[in-house]
Amino acid sequence: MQTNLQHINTLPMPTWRWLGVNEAAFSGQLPEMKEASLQAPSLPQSVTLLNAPPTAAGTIATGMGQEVESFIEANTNAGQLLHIAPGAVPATQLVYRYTLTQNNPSVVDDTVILAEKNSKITLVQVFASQDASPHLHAGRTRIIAQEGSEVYLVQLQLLNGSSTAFCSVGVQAHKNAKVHLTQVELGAQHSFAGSEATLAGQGSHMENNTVYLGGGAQQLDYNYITRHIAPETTSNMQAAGALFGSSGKIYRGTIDFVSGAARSVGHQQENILLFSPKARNRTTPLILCGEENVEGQHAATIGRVDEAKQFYMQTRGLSEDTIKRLMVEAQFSPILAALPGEALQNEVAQRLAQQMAEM
Amino acid sequence: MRAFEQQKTYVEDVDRSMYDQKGTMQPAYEVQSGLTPDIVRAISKEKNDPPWMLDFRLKALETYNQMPLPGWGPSLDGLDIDNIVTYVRPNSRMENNWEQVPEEIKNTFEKLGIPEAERASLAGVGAQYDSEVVYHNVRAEVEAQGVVYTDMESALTGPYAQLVQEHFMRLVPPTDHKFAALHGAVWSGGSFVYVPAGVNVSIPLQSYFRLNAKGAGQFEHTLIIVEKNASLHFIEGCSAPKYNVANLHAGCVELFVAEGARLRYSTIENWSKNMYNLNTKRALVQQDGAIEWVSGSFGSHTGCLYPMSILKGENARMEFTGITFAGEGQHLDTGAKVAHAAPHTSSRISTKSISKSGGRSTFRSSVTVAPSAHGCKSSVSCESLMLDSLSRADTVPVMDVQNDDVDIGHEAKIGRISEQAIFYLMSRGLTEDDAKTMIVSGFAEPISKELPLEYAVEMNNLIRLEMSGSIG
Repeated sequence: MQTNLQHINTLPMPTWRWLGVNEAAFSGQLPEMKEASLQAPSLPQSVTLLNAPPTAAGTIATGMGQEVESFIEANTNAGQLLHIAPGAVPATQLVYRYTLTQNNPSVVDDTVILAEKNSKITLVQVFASQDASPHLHAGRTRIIAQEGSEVYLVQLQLLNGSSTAFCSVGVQAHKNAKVHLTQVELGAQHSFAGSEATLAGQGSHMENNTVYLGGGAQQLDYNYITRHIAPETTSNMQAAGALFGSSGKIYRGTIDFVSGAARSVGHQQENILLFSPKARNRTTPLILCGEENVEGQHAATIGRVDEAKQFYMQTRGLSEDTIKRLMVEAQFSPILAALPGEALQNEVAQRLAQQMAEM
Repeated sequence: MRAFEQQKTYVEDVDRSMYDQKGTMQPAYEVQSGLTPDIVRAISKEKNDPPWMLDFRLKALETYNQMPLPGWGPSLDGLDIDNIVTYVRPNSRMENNWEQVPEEIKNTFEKLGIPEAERASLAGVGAQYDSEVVYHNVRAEVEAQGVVYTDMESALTGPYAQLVQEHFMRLVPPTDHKFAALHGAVWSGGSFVYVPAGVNVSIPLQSYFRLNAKGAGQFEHTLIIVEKNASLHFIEGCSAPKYNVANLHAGCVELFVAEGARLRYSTIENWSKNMYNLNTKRALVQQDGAIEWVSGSFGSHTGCLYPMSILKGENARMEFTGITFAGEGQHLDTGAKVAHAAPHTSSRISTKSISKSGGRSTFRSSVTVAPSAHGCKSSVSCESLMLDSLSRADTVPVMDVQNDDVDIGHEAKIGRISEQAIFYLMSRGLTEDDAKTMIVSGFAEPISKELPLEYAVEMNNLIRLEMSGSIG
């Protein structure tokens, strides 16, 4: 089906139009909506399914914006409304594995995670192509983290090179709640992702990690916003990426300190390795500040592998391809090493190695 | 509340009469407010433009009428071009001797320290009052080197007419944005500087712009050509008295830096707080050339200022050092742009901003690297200091890199004055007010040390003026 989305990943404070970073658009053919193929985990007793999204979910904005959310709402064929009981700490992570094939080419999931007071949950969503036909993943995940709760959400996007991915997350964190979001974007011809987190409760924390790999003619477009509303809130936004071929990437990372968020701290860092003179990197790290008593920092580094390091490794007998793979793995390791569980880390490492072999 | 936190107090602003004096001399001529082809023709006729310039102005006006306002940046709702008088000719000719300048105008510049600075430390001075240059002089020994420093109107029709025509609004065409088009239609005044190849102008030239008329605009054009292996330091300053209606400044600066040449362009902007400062500055730098910008923005109600450097030749480089101080009622949106358009070019942008009493400071930048520009390096550093929670400080940088053989770094910090630093200074006997002023002056020091001493002193005075308005 032909789909046109004009306002995706909108920058909270626009800048010069000619830079092309104020927002993204998508226009193209998407696979027809059919039933999604899902391998769902068994739920522990402390985790139940809600019949309807909680009222608070309706107030949560997600990073990719309203137009994508409306598309998801109109085409949902998957998703979970998860309720984690107060104080619950399930022993194992919940892994939702979606497999996309020619017969099940689309996953449009609308998921809500309501983590009650002092609960702790790890949720992994894997979206993987099993064949070369065009696939679509469009997902909205809204997280309500009540007082003292901890939510770890990992999203692995492993679609093939003719697919499209929209992965949008919204977070509302209450007092002393912690939310960790890791998005690993290793596939898709058009990869869009974003999150918007509101730190509404004193002492709440948002950790936002992104790993991306672009090759061929892939187009990657990301938008992350953390709004510090309450005092003593903290956030950390980290992104690590590598670009090959004639891929293009736009990364927008916004730390927004709203008046009243006294004694809050926000850090943002993006490190990009470039492996091709034809790749295009655009980076837009914003800090918006209406509160005096805060600390906000951001940093970005962009470039190729250090020549001295490259020479050293070559003198040790390593091939150019091996060096590239090692440097990318090293670039990604701080984020990937924090993925919950060795099995997940190994799966990502394998997929990364496969992708690198094709670059 | 921590032990050493203080109650906030407020004191009256310090007297700014040096900048706020209003001239009472009636202008010799002024156009009606607003913007029409007849007004543009009237300006062109007053200025005895060559025919090509009239055509240029009218075409720029068409472009202005077709272009929308920008969809980003500070609000321009308070600016109504129908209420702006775009040309005011003072009752004075251009002189090269201060004694010939009408008394009132001369006294204005005396109080601003311009003649004194010229005597003490400048190779030449241009002074503009409203829409025309009233004084222009260059030292004989500098002229003898072949350096040309004259007003734009003389340059348009004199021996450099062709050179001016070849360069005028080529770097900043009227199609660039709406206020560049406005400038193209109604520009008046400004300076033309030409430095021949191999000439080192060791003492700075300065232009000072004074906008006296209420509800008026100033649209001076500065065109500087520094030829191969030459060097120049050019300083511009500006001020205006405060009125309760909007004034507009939409000047344009075009700098051409030839192979191996070096140009330092320093600005202390101190417009009144009813001014809309929508200035456009751009430099084109050839192989092995260098442009250094030093910029202090203290005035204006609303400012949009982003000097841009195009590094066109191999090994060209750019440095930008700037400070912005946004106080009550001000929204200053400032920064820099650099385009790496050739291999082995380098750039460094270092800015500081201070916001207080509800002032709003926005740092906006772009670093672009063209596909052919391998071996480039760029670093951007932005520090913002907020003195209270009434104010805002925002940073909006963008990097667009289209070559992998680059080394690009960016960092920004936002925060408040360190309480530990204040405590330490107070423990050494300073008052809290003096401690904060010292810290803010220290914060600005990397910029002030790039200025000639007199201007560093002026900048420090401006910081003290601003800081003395509040404690907190």
